[in-house]
Amino acid sequence: MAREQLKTLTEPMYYVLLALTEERHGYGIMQCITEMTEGRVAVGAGTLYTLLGRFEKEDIIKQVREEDRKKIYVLTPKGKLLLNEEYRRLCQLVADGKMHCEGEME
Amino acid sequence: MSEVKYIYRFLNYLTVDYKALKMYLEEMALKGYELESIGTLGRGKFKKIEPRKIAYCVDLVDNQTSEAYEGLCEDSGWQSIKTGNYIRIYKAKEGIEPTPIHTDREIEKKQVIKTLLKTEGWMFLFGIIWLGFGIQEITTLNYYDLFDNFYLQNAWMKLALGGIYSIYSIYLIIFVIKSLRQEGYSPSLKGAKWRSRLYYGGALGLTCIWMWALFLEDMTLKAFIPVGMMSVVIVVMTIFYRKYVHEKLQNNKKKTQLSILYAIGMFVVMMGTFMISIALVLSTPYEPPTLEEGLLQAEEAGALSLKDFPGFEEAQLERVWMESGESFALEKYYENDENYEQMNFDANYYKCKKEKYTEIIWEKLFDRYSDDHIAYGALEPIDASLFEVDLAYKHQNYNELLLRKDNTIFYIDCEQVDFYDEANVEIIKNVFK
Repeated sequence: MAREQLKTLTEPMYYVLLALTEERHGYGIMQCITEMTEGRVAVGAGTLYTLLGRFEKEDIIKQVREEDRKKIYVLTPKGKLLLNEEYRRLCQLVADGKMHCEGEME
Repeated sequence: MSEVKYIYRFLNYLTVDYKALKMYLEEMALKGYELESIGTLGRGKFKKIEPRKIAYCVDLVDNQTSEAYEGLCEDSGWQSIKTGNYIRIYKAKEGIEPTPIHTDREIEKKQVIKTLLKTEGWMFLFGIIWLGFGIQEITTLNYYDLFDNFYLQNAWMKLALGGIYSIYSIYLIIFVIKSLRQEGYSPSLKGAKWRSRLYYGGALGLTCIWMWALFLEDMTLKAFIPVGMMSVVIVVMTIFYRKYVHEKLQNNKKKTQLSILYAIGMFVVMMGTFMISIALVLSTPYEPPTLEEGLLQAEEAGALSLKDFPGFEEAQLERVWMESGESFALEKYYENDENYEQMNFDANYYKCKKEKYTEIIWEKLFDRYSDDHIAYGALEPIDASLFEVDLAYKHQNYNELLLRKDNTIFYIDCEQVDFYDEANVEIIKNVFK
């Protein structure tokens, strides 16, 4: 059931996974997302915490160590695969859109 | 030097109104009051400040009690004011405009529903169960019970309590669904206040009804022991918790271990008290009123004509009791006295307010005194008009009479007395007057 839910990622989920291609702690993830999207996407602490919990449970990310009471996470191989799949899906979406929308605009 | 001024306001909003609480706190800040802490019974302490905009966040937590979460909120600019079991209040740090704690509506919705079930969910369950009990007894409803005999086990009461709680919780469910569906829903503060008043008023009312039921209904004195003990333990434990544990829990690093330890300790103490109190109740014999008290009660109930009966003075008054304020019973028993050879005197007098009880007692007595199985013999009907009663029975083998007139039952067993003697017939007639 939970596996089903993650077939397509929501925007915050996608960015959380993107941020976790490198080792980061919670607040680091939040900052990274804000930087990446120039403030367009913001993930709140509560939302992030829930997402991290869910990802960890599904073995998409793992905790590597704890520093200063802060848990540091990184993607697992499974997580990397999922992110890659999502990336390809999004590319497909863009490509499909390109074909139709650009034609229409002309 | 000007002194810092504080004002206090109760912040007992329902979980469903967590957004209203946030709104209220932000309004208070604009009026110049900043929330500093929340004390016992949800009493918020506000500091007088220059009116300014402060962002608050009321977070409903289901099981996010970890430090990592607290740290994350802290890092992202939220200063924790209250960390409760289900509700947490944060204030934006000065000069920062932090990202709201919840940015995903779906996740927030789930959280709200989960927390709600754990906080106000009991009401729905309670209402439905009670309503179920009430409906089960719907056939026994009568107007008499509504006006004259209103107590906890009354079907009217069950229906009323069940109905009120069911309706209120259904209203809350509809309200929650509506507010969660609506994007950018902003609650009305007045409505939130009323919902909270109804909830806490209802809970207080229910407690009163329970107390009333425990102390004044069937259990009478017996309930004082366990309820009293439990109350004392709860008060002591609460004071202990507030004074010694609460503070430590907030600062201690090993928060979870300590709280588990505390929970286990609390459970052990509570269970221990409960067991002891139950054992005490079971081992406490029923103490009947003294002879004087019994006679006084008997006089009030109009049963004193018994005093004229032969042998009464010498007999021991064994039991006198008032049952649920409904029935009156007077039993006396006497035997083996030198002056009265094998004198045996046993008389029961029952005066019931309701026919229902008269029927029950009549049936019980009838069964008791006409047991064929042990060759005891049966009760035989005799001429009821002799004693001016409705029903009259005499035992086949023993000198026992069982009489009933309206809701009064009189049973007498005395081998030495001739019930048909004119003087004694008069005495027995008097019993029913």
